[in-house]
Amino acid sequence: MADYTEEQFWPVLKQLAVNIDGMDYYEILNLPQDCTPADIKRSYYDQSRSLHPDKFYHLTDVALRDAVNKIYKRITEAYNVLRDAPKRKIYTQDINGPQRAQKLRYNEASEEAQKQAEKAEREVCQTPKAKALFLQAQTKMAQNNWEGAFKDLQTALMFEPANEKLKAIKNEVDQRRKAK
Amino acid sequence: MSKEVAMGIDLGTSNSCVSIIENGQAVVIPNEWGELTHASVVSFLEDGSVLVGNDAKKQMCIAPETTVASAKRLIGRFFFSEEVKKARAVMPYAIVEGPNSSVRVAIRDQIYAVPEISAMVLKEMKAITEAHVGHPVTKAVITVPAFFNDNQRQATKDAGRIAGLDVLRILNEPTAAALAYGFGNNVNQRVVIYDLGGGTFDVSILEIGQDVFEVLATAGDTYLGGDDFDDRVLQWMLAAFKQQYNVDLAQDRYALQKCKDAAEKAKNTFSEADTADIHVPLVFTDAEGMSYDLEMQLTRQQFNHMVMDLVQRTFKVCDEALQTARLTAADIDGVILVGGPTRLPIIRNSVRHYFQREPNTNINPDLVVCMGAAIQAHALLDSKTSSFLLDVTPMTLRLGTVGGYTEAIIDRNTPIPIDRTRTFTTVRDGQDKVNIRIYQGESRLAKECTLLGEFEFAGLRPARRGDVKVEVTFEIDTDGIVRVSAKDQETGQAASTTISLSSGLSEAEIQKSAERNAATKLAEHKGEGEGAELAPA
Repeated sequence: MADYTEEQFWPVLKQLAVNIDGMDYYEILNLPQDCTPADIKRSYYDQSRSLHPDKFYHLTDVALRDAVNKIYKRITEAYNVLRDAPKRKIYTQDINGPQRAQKLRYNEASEEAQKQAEKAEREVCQTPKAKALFLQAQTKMAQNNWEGAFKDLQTALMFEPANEKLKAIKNEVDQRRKAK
Repeated sequence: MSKEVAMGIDLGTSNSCVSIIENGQAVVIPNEWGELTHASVVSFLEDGSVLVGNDAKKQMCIAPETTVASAKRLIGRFFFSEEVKKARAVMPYAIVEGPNSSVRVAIRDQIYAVPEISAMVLKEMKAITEAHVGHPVTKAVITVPAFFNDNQRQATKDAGRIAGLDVLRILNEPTAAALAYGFGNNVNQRVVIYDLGGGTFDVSILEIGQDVFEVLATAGDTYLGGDDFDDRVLQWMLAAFKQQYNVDLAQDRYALQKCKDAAEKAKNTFSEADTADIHVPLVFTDAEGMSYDLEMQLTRQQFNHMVMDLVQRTFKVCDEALQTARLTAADIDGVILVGGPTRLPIIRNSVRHYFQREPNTNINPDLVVCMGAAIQAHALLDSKTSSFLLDVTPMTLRLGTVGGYTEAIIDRNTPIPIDRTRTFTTVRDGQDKVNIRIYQGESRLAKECTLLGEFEFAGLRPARRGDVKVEVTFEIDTDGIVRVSAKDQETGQAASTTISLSSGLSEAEIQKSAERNAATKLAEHKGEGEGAELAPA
């Protein structure tokens, strides 16, 4: 890994601090849009190793330190949004939509959209027990625990055997589980 | 190699200590008497000098009005807060109200801001270090409870500046402890730090992958600590004495202090023994001149019963942290105990039971935080930084809205440093300024959150209402400290920012305090260039 504290990289970092405003979170973390949660964490750790402001703390070039600080804050922001499955879903839709340029950073509008989406998702199930199990399954999905999520969904279906939406989700999870 | 030394200072509620890196190892520095931990007690002596540390603690009985203990409980708080009310009821020194509802301590004819008291403790830590290395040292990392809010962090940083320190970083105590333990492994491990200090309780869950220390979640209670355990014993002693002699010892500050010491000693006994004999000689003299001793025995079982609810409160906080990290106790690979009170068997047993594993106590729980701080201080001095701390903000940052409500800007447990931008629009024609209030807390109601300050952004260009859009950026930096700035979205012109409401000290006040701090002599130290004689204790 390159040591960005070396002077030869300073102009690169200063330029990156400007360009970063035009980059989406995947570009910032240098990941494809279909990356796994583990990829996101790995990239965040790697970027922290090379670009954490603490590494540049002893340098006297204030403009450089400001640049690194700006870059790193955006890395943190990218990680914070992409690690959260519901947020990531909205964000990914946004940056692939027509208003990409305005939606490179997760904002209040994205938050509102997320609230609506969560509400819709909560409404997948009607009975309290199935609702709770579905919520549990969602958490496990976010952790890539397909086996556990599958079991929860299966149990949820016992309470609501006619729920087509739930069935579809179960089947999707089943495929993911087998793919693993 | 640079000869530069940077200190790691654990500024505790009850005790403080200081560490530096020597030959690649974190070494806790003893004072002239070989003591590694120093009571965070400041006693203002008649001659104008200040006594800090374990000898100052002895002054709590002799000169209670001029001896300040537990300043950390007051730092960064508002005068009207519960904690300050409580301190005013039990502390023998005078706690008075300063400007903007701030807290001040009155000693004889002098008024001190709370950071000035803490700065005396820091001055002592600095002096201990300087005596050890033989040259001036100014750079330091100071630790704070992870659950400290912005006001408390800022006030701690101010204390550092008043003491003439260059504060490299305000570091969270549990994170510092994790750093001291290291865990240089290829496998990612999840570690819980259970940190019960004198006055605060913190839990942090970290994922450690080689050199990266990522805080997954942090939770805490800044109103819970070892002092509360002492207090339970004290209350029991007072009640028993009252029953026996019909005398309320709480009315006599001298007797109360004696009993407090005895309660603390009794509590510490339970780290090893099953019963504690409590003996306070001549605690009370009646009208006929008859003196009475306080003589009692407390069993470990009785003690455990007294503090059970306090212990349970710590696990509610653990539940919360695990839930936030979306983990269960079974996912945890290690538990580290930090803070003197974690020596109590009731704590160790409960932790073992809760996490279903033996807690790790290889490093002295009183010293581990300052050692971690020394490692971080050292790392900040050069580019060969070999460990990276990815910390989080403990509380949700909120913006005040109309009708006494707030809305979240940056959620708690968000990794830092980070920033978030909000756009505000003018609501009146020719409006030239925007006022915003920011808070920290988990409630939508402003009154249930802590006010951090009111900011005014002035100098907006004159225009019709709705034409000027002000972009306000909320930043939480690596110290966990909040910064707010604003600019005109269209012109990019930065608005001038003034803080009109804040519990903190102004720049001028800090400068003045720093001068007063520098002019104050520490007792029991060799005076600068004055030879070897000691000041009278």
